Amino acid sequence: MAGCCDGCTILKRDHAKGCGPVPDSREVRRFTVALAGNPNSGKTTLFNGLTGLRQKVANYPGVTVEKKIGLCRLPEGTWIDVIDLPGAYSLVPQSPDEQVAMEVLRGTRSDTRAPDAIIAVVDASNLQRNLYLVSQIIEMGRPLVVVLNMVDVAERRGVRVDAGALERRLGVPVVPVVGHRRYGIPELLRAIGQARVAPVPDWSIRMRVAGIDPMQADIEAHYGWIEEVAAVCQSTALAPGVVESPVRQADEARVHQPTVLPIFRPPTHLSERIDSFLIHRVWGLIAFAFIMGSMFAAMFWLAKPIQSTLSGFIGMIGSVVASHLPGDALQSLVRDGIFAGVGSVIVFVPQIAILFLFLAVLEDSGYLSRAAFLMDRLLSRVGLHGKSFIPLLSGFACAIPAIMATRTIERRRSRLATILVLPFMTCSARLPVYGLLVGTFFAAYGSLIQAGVMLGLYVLGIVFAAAVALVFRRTLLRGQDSGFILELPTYKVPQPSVVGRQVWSNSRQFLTRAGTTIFLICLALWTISYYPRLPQDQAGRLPDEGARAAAQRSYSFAGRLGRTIEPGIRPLGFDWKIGVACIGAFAAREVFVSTLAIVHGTGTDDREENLAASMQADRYPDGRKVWTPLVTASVLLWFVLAMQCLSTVMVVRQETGGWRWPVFMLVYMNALAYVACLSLYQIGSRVWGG
Amino acid sequence: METVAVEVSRRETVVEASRAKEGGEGNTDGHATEVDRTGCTSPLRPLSGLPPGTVAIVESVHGARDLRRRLLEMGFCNRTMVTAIRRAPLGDPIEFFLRGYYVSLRTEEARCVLVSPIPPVSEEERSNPSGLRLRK
Repeated sequence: MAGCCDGCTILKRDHAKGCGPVPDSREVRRFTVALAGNPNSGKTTLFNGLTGLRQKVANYPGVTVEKKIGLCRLPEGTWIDVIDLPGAYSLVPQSPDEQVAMEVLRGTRSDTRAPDAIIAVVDASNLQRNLYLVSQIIEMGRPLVVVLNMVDVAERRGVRVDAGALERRLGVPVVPVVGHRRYGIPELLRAIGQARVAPVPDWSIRMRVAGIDPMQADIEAHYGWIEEVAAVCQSTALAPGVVESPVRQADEARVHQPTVLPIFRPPTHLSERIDSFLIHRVWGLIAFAFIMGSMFAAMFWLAKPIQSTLSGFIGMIGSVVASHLPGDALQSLVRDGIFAGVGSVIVFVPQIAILFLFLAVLEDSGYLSRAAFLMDRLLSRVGLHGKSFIPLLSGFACAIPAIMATRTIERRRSRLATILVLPFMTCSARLPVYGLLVGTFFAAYGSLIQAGVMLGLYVLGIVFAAAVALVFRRTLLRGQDSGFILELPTYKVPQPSVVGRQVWSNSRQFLTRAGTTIFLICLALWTISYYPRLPQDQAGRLPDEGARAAAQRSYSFAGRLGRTIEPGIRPLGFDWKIGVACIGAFAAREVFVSTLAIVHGTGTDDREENLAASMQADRYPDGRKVWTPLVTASVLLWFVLAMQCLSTVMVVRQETGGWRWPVFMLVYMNALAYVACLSLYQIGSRVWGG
Repeated sequence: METVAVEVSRRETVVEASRAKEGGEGNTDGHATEVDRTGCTSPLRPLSGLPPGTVAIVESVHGARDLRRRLLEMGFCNRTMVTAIRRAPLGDPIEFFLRGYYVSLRTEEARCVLVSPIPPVSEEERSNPSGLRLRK
């Protein structure tokens, strides 16, 4: 945590008013409240309403669950800490989110202090299921305030919840709130000061009566209590008066409660009407294709000009700064090392921002679970989740925002499986490589065949992703992940504050966490391709600039490494130049093309035809062609399968919270690529004779 | 004590029904006549076989422990009423409505919930959009 005192993660400038003087601020202990509630209960909007801009987002150590803490000022002027817990359906956790929520509430996490009071956020339009978590929180015997959120949505759905009756029934303050209108926030602030411990209802008696299966008996006892509570405080505007169900009458084993019942027939409100279109078997799929298409188009084409402007601008500054520096080494370090490194980090930000803009809008509106509902069948066959679809689709633009987008998948195993196969999706950085190779060696076959080869490479990536996902879910990540069970929440208008914060915090997290390591890797790659320098007398004998650059590159560590590994990559059909280019591609896959141009001595001009001609003419000392059709196929296969993008590896580290999975990914993908290329080249050269 | 006895007998019926289901059922899930075809006389059927638009009462929940717990926690308990809404365009999962909210389950998960269907609603009930019946 970046904060300077225990449990305090507030930005330094807020310390003056928040924690007082910084020295020994461990003694300062602010009152802490935790916001707990079901997913989709409007917790985040309420959190924003309470804390404004005074919040800090970090990660709980070891897991990829966001830790959101903010400062909130009570009416009497004291500051309190507010923790926004991840959404949970139950305190018996079945996902990392729920695990964290449970641990923080119980005070068993060493990194987070147990809250002094709990604010339980309840969606008034979905009272019963929301009260289940509340009933578990009540059992914990901690000071509690219940927030009855989204009372406006409930009213529109014809459900009125009597906050006073609920308050009397629960024995703790109950505050009706409309989070996004800030209605009820002042009352909530007052109520926080009056938080009380709720009396625990006596469900043990009921549990004994029904006690055959303790787990079921426990849950049923809770729901029995919930039904009674709901009966007292919930009324349905559509059916005034005392109503009861035909089922209740028949059920004689139960205590008779002649009051309001759960609505069992779906109402026909706006949300349902939207659904009858958006998840319709024809229109739903068309709408889905349209929404996904615009998201992908924005990531692919809208981000491109922003990215090239940004990297062009940074490159320009780099050149200008470098031109004022003495010495070739320092100039190159600044221009090709530092500024190029910064550029290769910044270049991901537009795509991350655009993807998270879409993702936040889709999630906050409620469409994200519909998208998962529509696509689950397709993905469940290979052991993935309906929510894997958007990350996988985004992977066709870039794996980095896509891997960050897997955060929407709550289930751990499905999420890991999605992350592990995501790099097989043909990202835009592969396109220059495919373009060069297909354009050079399939030029004779016409554009239709070329397009077919490109399409084939995309399909190959998808096939491998599906197969590998299936294998992982059967072996390494086996297990049901406790099912799909997906709530389809009421549609609502996405909140600009929620969306804006999502975009901002994700871009920032990428820059501060993965960005710094990506930058260091770029510097390291610059160093091994710059040093050691070619001796002056050797360089002087070379005819032109291109040849000097080529000689320098092959003299450098990277060039020597390429030669060292040549025996290892020769069985794949690669020569040392391809090896050097593949090493360069670890910075980013498209660097393959520029590195190849440098080692071919055509690096100083931008014309790709020269490189193509040089590659076609390239021969081994014994006169054999380097780039046979089989070698081309082998290199293409390598680029489909290999994990080259170290930036992706860094993001996997950021997202999985350790080195285990990124290292595993690097090893398994490159081993798979090696074996595949080896088989292709060896079998191919036996069959077609090289 | 009486309640316990009632519970036990109810559960036994359920076990029988699920055995019959395992024995006689192929991949024909989703058809309304499924339970009848297996020759089981019990009115219980898996939730996955509930035709869209029909209402049923949850009788029991089976399956792996975690799945079963989560289904119960999501409100599939206490003889609650569940309405089948629709299947996803690709055939799976299935959307349900219960306790005032919508949830979707994969067919294999919905199969773990045994329900007894409620007879079709009368004209008087259909005219009442809330689905609640006024006490006489």
